Amino acid sequence: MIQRISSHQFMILSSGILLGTAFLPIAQILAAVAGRDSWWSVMPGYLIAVPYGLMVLSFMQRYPGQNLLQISGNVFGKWAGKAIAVYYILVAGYIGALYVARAVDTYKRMIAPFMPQSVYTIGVILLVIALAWAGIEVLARFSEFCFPLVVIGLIITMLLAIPRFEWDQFFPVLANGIKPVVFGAVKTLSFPLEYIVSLTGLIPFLPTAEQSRLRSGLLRAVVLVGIIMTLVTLTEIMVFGPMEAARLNLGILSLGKMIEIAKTIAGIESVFEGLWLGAAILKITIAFFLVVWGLEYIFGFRKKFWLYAGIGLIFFIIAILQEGGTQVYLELSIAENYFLVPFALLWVPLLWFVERLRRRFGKR
Amino acid sequence: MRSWLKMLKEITIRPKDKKRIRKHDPLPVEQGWSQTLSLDRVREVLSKSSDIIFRDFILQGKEAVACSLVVVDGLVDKHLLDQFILKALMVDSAGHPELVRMTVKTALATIEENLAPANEIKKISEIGEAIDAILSGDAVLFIGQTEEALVIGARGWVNRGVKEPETASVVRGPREGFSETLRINTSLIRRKIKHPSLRLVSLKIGDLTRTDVVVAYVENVASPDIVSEVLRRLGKIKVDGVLETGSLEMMIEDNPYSPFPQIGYTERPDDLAAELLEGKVGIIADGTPIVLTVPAVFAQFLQVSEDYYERALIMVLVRFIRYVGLALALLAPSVYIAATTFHHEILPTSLALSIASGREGVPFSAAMEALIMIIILEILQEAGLRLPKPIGQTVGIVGALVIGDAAVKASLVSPIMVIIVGITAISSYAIPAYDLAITVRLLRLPLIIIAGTMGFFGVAVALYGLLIHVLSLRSFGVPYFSPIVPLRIREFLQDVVVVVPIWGQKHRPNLIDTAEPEAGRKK
Repeated sequence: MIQRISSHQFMILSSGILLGTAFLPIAQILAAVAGRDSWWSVMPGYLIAVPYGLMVLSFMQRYPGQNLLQISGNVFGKWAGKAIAVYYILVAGYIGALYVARAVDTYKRMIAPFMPQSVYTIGVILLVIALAWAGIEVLARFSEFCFPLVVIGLIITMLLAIPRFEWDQFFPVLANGIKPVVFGAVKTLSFPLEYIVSLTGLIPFLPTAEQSRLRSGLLRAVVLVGIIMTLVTLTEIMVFGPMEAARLNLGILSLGKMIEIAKTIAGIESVFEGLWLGAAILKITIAFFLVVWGLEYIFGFRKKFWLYAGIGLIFFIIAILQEGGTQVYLELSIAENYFLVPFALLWVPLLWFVERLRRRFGKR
Repeated sequence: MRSWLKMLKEITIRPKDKKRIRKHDPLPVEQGWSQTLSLDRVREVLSKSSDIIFRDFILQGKEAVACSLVVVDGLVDKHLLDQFILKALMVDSAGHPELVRMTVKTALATIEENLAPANEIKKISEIGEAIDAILSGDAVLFIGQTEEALVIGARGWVNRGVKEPETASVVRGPREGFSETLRINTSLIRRKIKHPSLRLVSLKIGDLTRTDVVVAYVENVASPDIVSEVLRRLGKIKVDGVLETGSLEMMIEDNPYSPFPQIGYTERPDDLAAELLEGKVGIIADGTPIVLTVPAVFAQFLQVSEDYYERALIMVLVRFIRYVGLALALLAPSVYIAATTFHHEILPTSLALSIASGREGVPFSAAMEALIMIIILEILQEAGLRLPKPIGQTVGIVGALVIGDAAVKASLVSPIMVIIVGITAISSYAIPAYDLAITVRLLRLPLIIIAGTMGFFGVAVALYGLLIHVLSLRSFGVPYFSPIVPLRIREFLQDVVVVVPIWGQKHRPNLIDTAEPEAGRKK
């Protein structure tokens, strides 16, 4: 049975992937580059997902039921398509495994430092395999459930942090000019482009006839997540100031730690971490799916338990070999900035351009 | 070894093709049941049972016609049989002009059209039909040596009547419940929905029990796809017997390995009528007051018919409390264990100190303490359930007050754990559907163990695992967690946590593909 996700689910799933767990490091990444004005950088960086997303969606009607790897095979030729798929699998797989390592590192540091890393890793990977095995429809439903909870968790954290705002951190605005903001926007590119790479595999499951709804869903998702990320960054800047925000690894969790509700519940970050586990699972599962789709394209595999268990095992091995701490973040930033971002920046427009040229000259 | 594996596979894996479920080979006695009717063959098959009565008599018309009335003692209404069949034929018909002209050849038609004053009468011509009718409680009249017989509706047996169901009592609402007799149950539904669109489709399931099953739905309201899927799944069942709708449920549900109930049930006609009006399909079986309803969604297990009889604003609070009860029943012990064992930081210092002083001297870990208490609670529940009411209450009091108090005094458990377990038990009674409540009881135990070993991370992983499972469930094609996920905003706002007044419920839930989405409105 072909699984389908509705246009509404597409919007929520897109938001979920865009948000992912990016709210954890975004303020640190941006504050290091753009300082006090880092919150200005979020929206311009995220908006790149709109033209790229529209390019990807434009393939749907001409190549129904095909993902971008298959379309690349049709447009560039079989072997070029397979070469792209190999790179795609390696990048998605490695980044997915690093997401696992980062989630594990976060939980280990914030929740129970004495629990073995392997227990966390196995827990996360079992959930990812279960979700991937359940299929893309269930993934879409999962995002429908988790995304609002994560957003509510973020909003509560931000609202409860308002009393700790230091209003003088807001000014002066753009004191260093526009240049740091532009550099900051470049730094955020990895988040929307990760989404674009996910979208390249998702398009066969989208309703082909609802192009306009999909386009507006894409736009809404980007704007919604852009606003949330802007607010997260701004909140951290307002509470910690740009220097401290650039130093703190998981600023939003530190905010959670500072919160106390009615002198009864304090340090609620462990409760919110439970919610945010959903966001991490969503993001890792998408990376898992990209590997599956890549392997299906190259070798023609069908859904088999051993395939899923094997990919899970590889994720586990890569994740468990990571040392944790700053090393995971560095590794992830290298993988995203040097392997994923250039690939996504080039692949989608090139394919779009070549495909249009071929159509113009009557070839398909 | 292979035979062990085969046996293991047989008892654990439900065959996809339900034809293979306990396939029943035809018994020798069933040979030739489709053949033409003959009294001798019926007598041969049934005469060995002491409750079968063969009443032979002769009708004297133009020619003498030998008749035999076959019934099951205890299943027929004897008064009706004596006064309106036997007396009518043997006494009252004397001198009837049609009887005077009656020959062996015309006897069947004459009796059917002129002599038998029964309102339910049908001609049959196969042995199997005759045996089915007799064993179902009808009277079968064999006339001469003809190859046809008359089935006369004369069913009547002792039943407990229409009473309020003990497991689904309400403060406000009708006091009638289904009984074990199929016809009483269908009549209760017919009394609620007096419209020709109410369809009652009859089936017989069970090779040996030949249980009468009725599929009820409202035409143009229920989705034809769901109705045909229900009939298809029921039609594929091949078992020796169906004694309760629970066995039907296990054979037609989508995922037999899930702990979650995927088919609803009710004992109340008003409940069933309301569900039929929403586009659902009811499955009524003879011999049980439990009626199944499909498709089922998670939210319905936290709803009761009373929600729609009281003012909506009050029921919003009641619904909310049920959801809180569900969360507490599932999570209270595990959250307490995780917080006290791993995550002291989420507790304010004064609360943490108070808990620590309560646990002073208790030799067990919080998880072990909770497990012991929960298991004792389960034993008390099970013990009290099947005992006569006064003894059951005594067991509850002895268990809760005497043992609990003694355990605290002996420092075997902490007072706060008694409170947590008490809250858990009371919260689970706030879940209106028993099948969901026992699911929660089942899931609570592994959650306690996980919380005791992995803290909040373990609880979160377990809950996400459950969520993935629930999101992947479907009931007759309808996503189990709808209208929450996939979100159907109208249904979500209309009847999940919030209950809008009846005049605001203008649309039927479109999680089911209903032909008539408008549900009527206040004029």
